[in-house]
Amino acid sequence: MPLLSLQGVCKSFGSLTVVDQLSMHLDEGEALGIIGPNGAGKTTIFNIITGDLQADAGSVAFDGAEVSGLAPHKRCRSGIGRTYQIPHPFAKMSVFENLLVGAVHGNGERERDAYGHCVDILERTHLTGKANAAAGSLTLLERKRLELARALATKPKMLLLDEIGGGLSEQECQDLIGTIKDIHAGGMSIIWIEHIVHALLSVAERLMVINFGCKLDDGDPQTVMANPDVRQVYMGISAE
Amino acid sequence: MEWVSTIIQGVLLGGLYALFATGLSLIFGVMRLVNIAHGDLIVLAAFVSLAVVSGLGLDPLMSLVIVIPVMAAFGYILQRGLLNYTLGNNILPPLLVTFGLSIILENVLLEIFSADSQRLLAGGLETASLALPGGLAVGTFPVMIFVSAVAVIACLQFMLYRTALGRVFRATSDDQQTAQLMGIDNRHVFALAMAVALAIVAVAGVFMAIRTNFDPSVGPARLIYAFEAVIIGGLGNPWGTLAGGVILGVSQAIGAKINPGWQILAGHIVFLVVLVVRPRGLFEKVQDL
Repeated sequence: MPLLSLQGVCKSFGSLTVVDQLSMHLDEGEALGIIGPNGAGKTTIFNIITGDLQADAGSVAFDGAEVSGLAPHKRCRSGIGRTYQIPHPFAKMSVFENLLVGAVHGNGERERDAYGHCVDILERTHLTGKANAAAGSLTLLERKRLELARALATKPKMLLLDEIGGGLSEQECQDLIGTIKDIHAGGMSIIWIEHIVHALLSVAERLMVINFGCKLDDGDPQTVMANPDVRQVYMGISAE
Repeated sequence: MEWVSTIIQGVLLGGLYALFATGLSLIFGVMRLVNIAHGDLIVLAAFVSLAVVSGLGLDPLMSLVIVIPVMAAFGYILQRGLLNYTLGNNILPPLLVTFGLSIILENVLLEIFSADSQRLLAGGLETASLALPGGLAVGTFPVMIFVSAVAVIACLQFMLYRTALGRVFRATSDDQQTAQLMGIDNRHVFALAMAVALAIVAVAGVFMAIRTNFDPSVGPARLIYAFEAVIIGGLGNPWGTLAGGVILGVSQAIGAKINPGWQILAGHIVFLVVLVVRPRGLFEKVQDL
């Protein structure tokens, strides 16, 4: 049974259909990449998975249980971790405190028990030197790392990464890819939305293409990228 | 020397105003809720204490042992059962609902306790005084109130910056949506914040009831003092709130010294001057909570 499974999910904002009868799944330990033009509904899919938005129709099952009706905080506790495209740190709290909040509430740990695990995550996300800095003072790369670290602090079974490479320099992006590869190598299931295709392909084992809220193709990354429809929709847009 | 005494009285009165204001400031900080019923909740705490004192024969200060948990529980239920439903992008519903709550509380208290003026008697504590060098004397009880205010604010600061509960208050204050993504149940957090605020209100209400006469209609005036202290001190800054309370108290004491009729007016004038000169308060918020 897949870790995550969406069946017939629909979402409209007024007369604009953003996600149309979408079904998809993620297997345990798998890294799935999602690409698609701007406005294709990629972030909306994440919002529906995390519960930030309610789907109009369809179901979301995670880890063997239906989660469609659950509030976002309960979905977090059930093991769904997410990073935002635009980092949302708790700006006035220190980096370490940001992680503690995730560990205590997302994973139900007592603060004292969470210290070791949070220190460990800071190490893995290369933020150790910034542990006591105010989150609001971080650079963009550090904020993106903090998004990742804070999501990991909730001990997720699945990570949703929303354009985590966006806005970074090539070198910074490579650094971050290294971190994500490490996390995936540790067994983490990942869904990653990204416009930077080469970054995505270096991690993803499967690629899904979304256009106008529908699945255009889904499968082995090389095969998908060779699909003429995908080339037309995706490369056409990106060449503009 | 008389002026020194006046200023000391004012500072000590400011401690009570800071206690009125701290809970108001906390819930605004955590959930952006402006609680118009705050003054009536202070009066409610005073009446709960009155009921405990007359029912169980406890000393008014001892009644805090019961009044604090009762008010905290009431706060949790009030937030979870009513006020959470008013929070959203629109600031009008919480204002209207707490305004309605204010009217309801006032009338329920009027129905139960009548409009008679009440006072809690603390066995001579209210008239006891301490002698200071230079022939000055200050009331023991006002000193106690001021020390309590400092202690309450210090505990609140410690809680906000050093405990898991404080971190969750600050995280929610900063970004509610992300807080939920971190597994935080906002409805529960808001209810806990209201419980903490009303525990502080319980202390303020009992002290007020020992210090002055009260009846069901005095809530709105306490609300005004609380607002003034918060705004003079700068929103979201607990020590600023203490300073705001002190400035308000000293202004009132000096006003009363000049002419007894000017006590309240002097406080309002100083508040208005601060509002004109430093609209964000004297100790502008360094940070949200």
